[in-house]
Amino acid sequence: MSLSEVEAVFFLPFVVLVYWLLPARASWQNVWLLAASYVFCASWHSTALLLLLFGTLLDWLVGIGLAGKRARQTLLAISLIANVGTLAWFKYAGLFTGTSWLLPIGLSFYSMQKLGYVFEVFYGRREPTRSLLTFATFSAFFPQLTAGPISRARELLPQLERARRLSADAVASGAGAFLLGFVLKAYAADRLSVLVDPVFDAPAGYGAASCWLAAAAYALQVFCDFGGYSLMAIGTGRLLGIELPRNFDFPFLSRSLPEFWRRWHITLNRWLFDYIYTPLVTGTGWFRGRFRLGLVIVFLVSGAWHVKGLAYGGFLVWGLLHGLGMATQFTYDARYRQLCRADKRYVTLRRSTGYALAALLLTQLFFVVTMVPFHAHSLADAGVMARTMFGLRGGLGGGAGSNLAALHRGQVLVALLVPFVYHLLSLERVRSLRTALLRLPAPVRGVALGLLIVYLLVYVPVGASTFIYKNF
Amino acid sequence: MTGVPEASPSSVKGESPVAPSTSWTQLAIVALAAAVTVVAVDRYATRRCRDIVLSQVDDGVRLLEATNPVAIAFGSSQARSFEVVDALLAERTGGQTRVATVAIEDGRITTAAWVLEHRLAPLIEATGKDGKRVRDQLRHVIFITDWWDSIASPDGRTTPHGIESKNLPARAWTLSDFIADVRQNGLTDFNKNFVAAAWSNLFGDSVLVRDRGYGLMLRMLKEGRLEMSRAEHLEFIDQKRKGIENNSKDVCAPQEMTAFAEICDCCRDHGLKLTVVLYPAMVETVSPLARATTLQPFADAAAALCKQRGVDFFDWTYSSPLQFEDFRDHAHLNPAGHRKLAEWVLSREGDLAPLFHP
Repeated sequence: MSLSEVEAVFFLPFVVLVYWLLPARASWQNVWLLAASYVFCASWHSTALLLLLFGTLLDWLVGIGLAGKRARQTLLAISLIANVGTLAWFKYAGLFTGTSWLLPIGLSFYSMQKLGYVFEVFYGRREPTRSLLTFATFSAFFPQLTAGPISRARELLPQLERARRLSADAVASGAGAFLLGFVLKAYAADRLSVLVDPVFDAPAGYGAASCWLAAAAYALQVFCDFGGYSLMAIGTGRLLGIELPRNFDFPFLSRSLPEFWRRWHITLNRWLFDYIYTPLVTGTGWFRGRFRLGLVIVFLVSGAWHVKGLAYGGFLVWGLLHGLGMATQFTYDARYRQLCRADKRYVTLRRSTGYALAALLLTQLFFVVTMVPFHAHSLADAGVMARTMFGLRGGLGGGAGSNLAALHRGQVLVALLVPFVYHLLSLERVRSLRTALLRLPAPVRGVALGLLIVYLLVYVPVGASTFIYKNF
Repeated sequence: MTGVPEASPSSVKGESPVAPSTSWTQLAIVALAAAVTVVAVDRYATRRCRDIVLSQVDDGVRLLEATNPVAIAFGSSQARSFEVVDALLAERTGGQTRVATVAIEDGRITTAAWVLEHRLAPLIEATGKDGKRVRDQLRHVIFITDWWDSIASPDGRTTPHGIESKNLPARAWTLSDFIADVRQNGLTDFNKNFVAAAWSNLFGDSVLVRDRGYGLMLRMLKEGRLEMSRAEHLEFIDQKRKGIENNSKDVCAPQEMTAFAEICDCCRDHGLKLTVVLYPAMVETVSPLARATTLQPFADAAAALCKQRGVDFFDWTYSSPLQFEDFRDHAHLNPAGHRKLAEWVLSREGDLAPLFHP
């Protein structure tokens, strides 16, 4: 089941309606949320539910056990082996057997969320949750089950421990986030496929312009697909009176790689930095102070986390490139700070529009280029595409049947504009316009909303949507 | 330290179409205005585009439930021509003689066999208190098909290219079929078609919902016609012609031909006379290569099977009065085309004349 597909039309209103009709007590609300979440999970396959049930019970017991003083390391190891082992089994066993294994829905996401809880209890940052019901709801909360956002225990558990109350603000912002997410995911992401798929399917037949367009369109497509679904999850959470962490923060406005990773798939990255990078480089071991190496390791882990099916090389190359990019930026920033201390003109330069634009362009170009190994069907294909993009093979134009022709289609152009406008509206200079639009009389906003719904009914076909991050 | 520091908890900016601080009244006004807008646009579009809602299996089943027809016409989406046959027949006989049409969108012969066995057979066999069949006029089944229906579908769900079939039989299921499939396979792209169909049926008279994704409504509203321009049509047909040629190796798939035999047997078991009709092709889509390697092998296999089972078989592939301008796309007719074909079918010289003029 997915929040963006037709089944949600029946599932979501029913769940939300019954939820708010129940007595406003945390236990009643959690029982209903848990039941809905398990139906959501089982709709994929009963095996997925069994895995979730087992993992939930184990980590709840581990959490309780960690509150004591005995065998804490062992308990942590058990949770780590169970969560990482299960994830690794489903993700990588196929690499050795040669058969692609179907990853149970949400496993990559809820495993991280439960492990985060175990780490928090292990480090003594929070008390374990005594209520199995609350913990099970935390582990399985359906809006975030398929693709996150990965909540921290301290963000979600306290909300589940108290009764939620319905408010007009939550309904309005929840419905708004859901609708915006739907536009990004079901409308924009799907339409961008025509720019992406033909080239990634057979890169040898295309020229540089086509390859650049495909890589850039894929970056936008992943953002729309995953960022859109994250917004839908956040919106659904709000409709249920629960605030989930944001997962994307206008990443295409980033002017450096560290900034980019603070804005892109935020909840995965902060997990990786919280529980891998920070313990590694601030611990007492050999890695202490080896920040650059820590960065490379973190992004290699991120690459490994993204592995799906039998393709793994491209994800590891992608992770390595970003690790090296982050390490390079680390060095550059340190050197630049030295320059700034020696000569204030460097401070002025860094604040200039030209510097900002160059930094923005370089950051985004780097990300676009790394999308090539991330999405190519093989490393050989990635090599072909990269060489074409940098003029080392093929022509400069589009090639036969080029995706450039698709740019003439109105719907594709609108789809390209959606993420741009979305980013644009976050800028301080444009914010007043957005505020003014939101202050229009309610009937005018209603008519605009109605026209948007009509547009979506016309242009978003049933059953034709893709969902990129569901596969990771 | 370079890293990813604390992200602010949620408060996603810029995503609400409703004002930052909202009262229930404001929310209700926004929702009401939105609903009124959607309904108004839908009513306008529905009035302008009445012809574009295509009947599905459930529509045919409902018609069969409500009538006592002399024949059931079922099979490919092209079977919708028999809706016009039914209308003309009803008009000429004062409603005494009806043909219940059950058109299967994007199905295969296996799908048709499923529909016959699971949806139509119970209605064929339905009896009244006196123990007699409710539909006692029903004597014939007309199975309308073409080569496309015999394309390999390894598990009855996927096309040869591994794409889950978009429509049937999931669209023809009842709720219990859907639940049984979800219990066995989980929610899949295939069985979600049932949910999509349920959504469509909820808003049965809404063009916005029924046309969702097909784009016919927009064409109708923008250009006042359903048909493509001649240039578009020719380009489209060119692509389809190549497609037919490329399908030569997948035609007459064993499981589809087995299903064909099952249809013959099922009709015999229910005491109904089966007539198989190969639907007219748009000749512009048929190259000599496609004719030799795709269409003819299927026609030969179907004819042989019908002969073996004593079933009447009519190959209209090249023998109908239809011409290029009667087609809406490469295989389906426009309203004028349906009318022309229906008149031809009902003419006393037509192959099916004995069914309607006993």
